[in-house]
Amino acid sequence: MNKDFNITAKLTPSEKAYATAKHPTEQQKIDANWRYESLHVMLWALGFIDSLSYPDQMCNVANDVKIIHGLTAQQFRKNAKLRTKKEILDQADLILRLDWACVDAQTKNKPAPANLDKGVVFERHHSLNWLINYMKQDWDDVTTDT
Amino acid sequence: MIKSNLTWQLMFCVYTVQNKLIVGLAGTTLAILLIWSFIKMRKSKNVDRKTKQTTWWLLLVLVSVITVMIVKLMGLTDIQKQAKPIIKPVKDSTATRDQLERRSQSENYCKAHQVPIYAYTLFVDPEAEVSIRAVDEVVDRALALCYIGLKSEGLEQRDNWTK
Repeated sequence: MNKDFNITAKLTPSEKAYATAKHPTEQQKIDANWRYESLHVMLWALGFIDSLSYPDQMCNVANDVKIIHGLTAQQFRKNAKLRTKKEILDQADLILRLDWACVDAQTKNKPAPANLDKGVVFERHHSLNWLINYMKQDWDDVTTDT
Repeated sequence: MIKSNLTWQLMFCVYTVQNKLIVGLAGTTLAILLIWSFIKMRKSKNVDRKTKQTTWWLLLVLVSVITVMIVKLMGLTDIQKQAKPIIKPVKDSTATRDQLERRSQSENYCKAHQVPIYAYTLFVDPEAEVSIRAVDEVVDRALALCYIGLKSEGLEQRDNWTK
């Protein structure tokens, strides 16, 4: 994949550190695995996925990977249709409120409300904040303030 | 000796226990014990004058015990805990129309899913001030994220991605 998609040039410093680590830590692997949720948001933003469902469970990774796997880099780029600013902001506003609910529950030592998966909510918030250029932060530095 | 131990145990209960019944019983017993000790020492002919003067400290302890008792029995500590943080709501009038519409839409979604709603003003930036990422940037990010995800499972080398 690296060779065909010229991935190295697209990685952030922390992603490069993980990608080149001979012995990545368990935390690095866990963090990396959560990136599938961010991928899901990007595929939605690019029009490959119709909608973002209620974040009470993780995305279907196999379906998401299949979207990229089935195309060349050029086809993937050509087929991508970025959603409108309004659509992305609508999701950014929603995830801000859902994340607030999770964080608020956490500060009260309670589980996430309404069956929300706080991990999924966090990843989506991070991804959507990046998409809307929140505070002009790079991917590694994106904050999810609530 | 027994009286001294009892005094310390009662004080421990009054100052550390939160149960109102225990605090009430321990505090009352302790107060009686302190008053009794105070009177007894003041009236005793076997206690020298210097020692008698130190008995005034008992009144200070008594006041402290009664204060703690009142605070705990009246639930004043609970009131402090429940006190709302000092958050001054920002007036919605500063929000743009698209921000208000977006908020309303999101809150309806939250209500439908029984997600608690933030009582104060919380907005993403107005549409006019936001510039979303370019499509090529998002495509690159998607590819990078896919690679990182696959690597976390040791699958990044397995597939033949030759196109």
